[in-house]
Amino acid sequence: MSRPHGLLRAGYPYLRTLGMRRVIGYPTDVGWTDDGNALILMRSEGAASVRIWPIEDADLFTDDLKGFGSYGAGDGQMVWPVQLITDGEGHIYISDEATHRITRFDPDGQFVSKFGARGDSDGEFDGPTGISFDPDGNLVVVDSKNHRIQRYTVDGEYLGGFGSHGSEPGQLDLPWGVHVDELGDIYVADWGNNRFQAFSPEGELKIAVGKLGDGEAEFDRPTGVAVDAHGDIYVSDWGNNRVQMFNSEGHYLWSFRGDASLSRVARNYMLTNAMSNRLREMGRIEQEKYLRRPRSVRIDSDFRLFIPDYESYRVQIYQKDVVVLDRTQFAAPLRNPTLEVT
Amino acid sequence: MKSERALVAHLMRRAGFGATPSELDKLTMEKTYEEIVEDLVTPERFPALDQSFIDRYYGGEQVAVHVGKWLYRMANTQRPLEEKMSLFLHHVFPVAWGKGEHNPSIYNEIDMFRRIGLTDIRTILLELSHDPAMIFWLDNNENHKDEINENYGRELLELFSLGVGNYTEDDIKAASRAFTGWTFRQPLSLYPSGNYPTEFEFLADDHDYGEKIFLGETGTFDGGDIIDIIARQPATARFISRHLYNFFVEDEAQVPSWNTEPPRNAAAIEKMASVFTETGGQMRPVLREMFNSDFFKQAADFKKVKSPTELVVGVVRQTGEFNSPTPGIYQFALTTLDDSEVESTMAVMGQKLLNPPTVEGWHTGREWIDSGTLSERIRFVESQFEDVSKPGVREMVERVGSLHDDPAHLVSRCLDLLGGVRVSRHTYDSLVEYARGLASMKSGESAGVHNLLQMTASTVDYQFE
Repeated sequence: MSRPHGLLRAGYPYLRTLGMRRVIGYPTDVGWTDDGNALILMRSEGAASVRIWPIEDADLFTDDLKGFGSYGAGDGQMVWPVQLITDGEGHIYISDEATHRITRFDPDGQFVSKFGARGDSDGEFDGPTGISFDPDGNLVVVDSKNHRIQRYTVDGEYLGGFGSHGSEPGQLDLPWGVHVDELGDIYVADWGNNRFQAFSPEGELKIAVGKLGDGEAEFDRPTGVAVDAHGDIYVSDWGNNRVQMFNSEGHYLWSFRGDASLSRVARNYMLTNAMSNRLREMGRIEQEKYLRRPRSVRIDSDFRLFIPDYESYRVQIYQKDVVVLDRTQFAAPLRNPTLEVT
Repeated sequence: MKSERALVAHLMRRAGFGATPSELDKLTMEKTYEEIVEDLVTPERFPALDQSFIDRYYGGEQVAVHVGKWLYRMANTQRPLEEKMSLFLHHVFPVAWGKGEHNPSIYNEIDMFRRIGLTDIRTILLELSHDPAMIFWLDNNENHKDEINENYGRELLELFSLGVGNYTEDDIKAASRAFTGWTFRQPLSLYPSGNYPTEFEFLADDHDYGEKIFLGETGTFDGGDIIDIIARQPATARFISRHLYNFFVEDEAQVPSWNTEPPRNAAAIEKMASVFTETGGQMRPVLREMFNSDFFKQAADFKKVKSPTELVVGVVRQTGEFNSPTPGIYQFALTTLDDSEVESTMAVMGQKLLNPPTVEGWHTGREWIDSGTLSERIRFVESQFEDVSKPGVREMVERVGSLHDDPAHLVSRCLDLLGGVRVSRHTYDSLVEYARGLASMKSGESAGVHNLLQMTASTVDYQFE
């Protein structure tokens, strides 16, 4: 699928919220299955697992909750999981920055294999965080404390890497999330440098956007990055409690700050909690819709944007609404700005 | 050497959480004692910890997670006195999470203590009186102009500033009236989306604007005016100075008995109180005076029992296990109050940070110690020094030398490497004997220098700061 010539950006409406406290605990990343479920990766001190939740939402009671994985260093367990991705066959891959490994699960959540060992040599990790598939089906892994990007086969064979520690363009400082687009370009959330950078498959820097701040195209510890099939780029801006959106050239478009409404399970829970309802009425309820410390952002092939709302125990979903434009509908780029606005 | 190693080690234990061997090397090589004191009371000279770096790795709802973050801060800060003062204020103004179970309030309170710990008594008491965690803890949200609640007014005078015997019941009533309408905004419910913070709110229509007589002064006082008057009182200067002396210099009697039990060193308290008064209740000059005094320098030997927090953080600093974010630091602080099935080591030792037992705080000094808590302290220390792969333990093992060195020298080096630990003659002789025994173990038996470190740290002497 090729990139469109242009887009009529009709809007980006909020779609729905999944989960609530006690049902989802500290969501740090999200993936999905072919049969319509979200795979919500949950992480806090002493607890780590994956919650399976229908993207269309559900009203599940705690006894009916589905998921897999548990806290620990054994096979199929995780201590500090960071990102979750799925391949074309439904296998699930999870990075763990405490055990320095990538674990593969089958579509039912059963442990299949793992690879990774601590170190700073080729083929070793010190805190693997972001993971993404490249167009060849290999794994691109952010090796955060070694400040570099590495590429592996899904079986853990080291294929190469690039990156060094620093703040110069192209250098990295405790990078976190990663996304490889369909062209093979590698987008990295450069956490310590408060920017995102895009690299060619060979590691050549293509764009670098951002500095510390809370304005447009400024960041306070960017965590995750995602790129959709139109080339639009999304970056979760952790400290600013938002997700920023850019076009494929790195031009800032807009921010998502959160529009949460009650999920079905939350709605039902609240019906039986009189005191909570009174407190919400007395408090500043507007706060409840905003994102809190998002640690990732993901977009699926249906252009649904998933934001794990880390400190609010839920996932917020938006739906991209665009019309693809051809050359007759979208003018060529202008060299200069103009006041002759039509 | 610009400063004496043992004295600097003593200073760093009291004003911070102890120094590693490398830190002591550097400090004593580069700075005089007085310069080190000046650095301690001027933490702005050193970079603050990056909270986002801590939050990146440590997340979760349990109070233990947040205590773990605080322990991490104590162990890794380059501003040790700033962190120690936040612990000091938590001891003096003890608010327990367990009453409201509202996490953001109690965490924000500790952040506030960190921010204001080295300011002045007026700022400290004013911030405290604006603090939602304190307001709820002592019921000032229920203190209305037509129905006063005296709880905060009473404790402000009794436990937080003047001390028993320096005010009357009428002063309590007047103070309470002055704080009517000082409340906080209702935070959202815990469900469905977790806790949200709250903030101070002044309700003008619930405040008593009438005339009050407080400590002999008359006026239409509000809470700020009451604090101004409190801050000027000689009793406040003595009370806060005694608190500082008790926390940093020498274990005193428990606070509730201070109106009947004289200070252990009245001259020291008077000297600190005079600096307090001369500087308008500034904390830095009082601390500078205290750390540079002879009474502080002479208080090294068995004058002060480590609190569980000081013990745990001191050990963690020495083992180096949490020099960078590593899973598990929260486990030191788990409590059954917080959905844990077991009490953690700090709870068994008698200190649940963020959950002090009463408004009096923890009873300190020798009251930290009974047969159960001492057993836990020694078990904890012994277990922490067991793993020679921990970077701090590895460094110490390398620096101690061979088991076949002179046993007395080995013991002396262990004591130095563990932060300049002072031990009694009896303990010293026992350790030398133990070192000799380790060296004579037959081949095939497992023994190493780390066993001597473990034994040294497991002595009762190590429990003193």
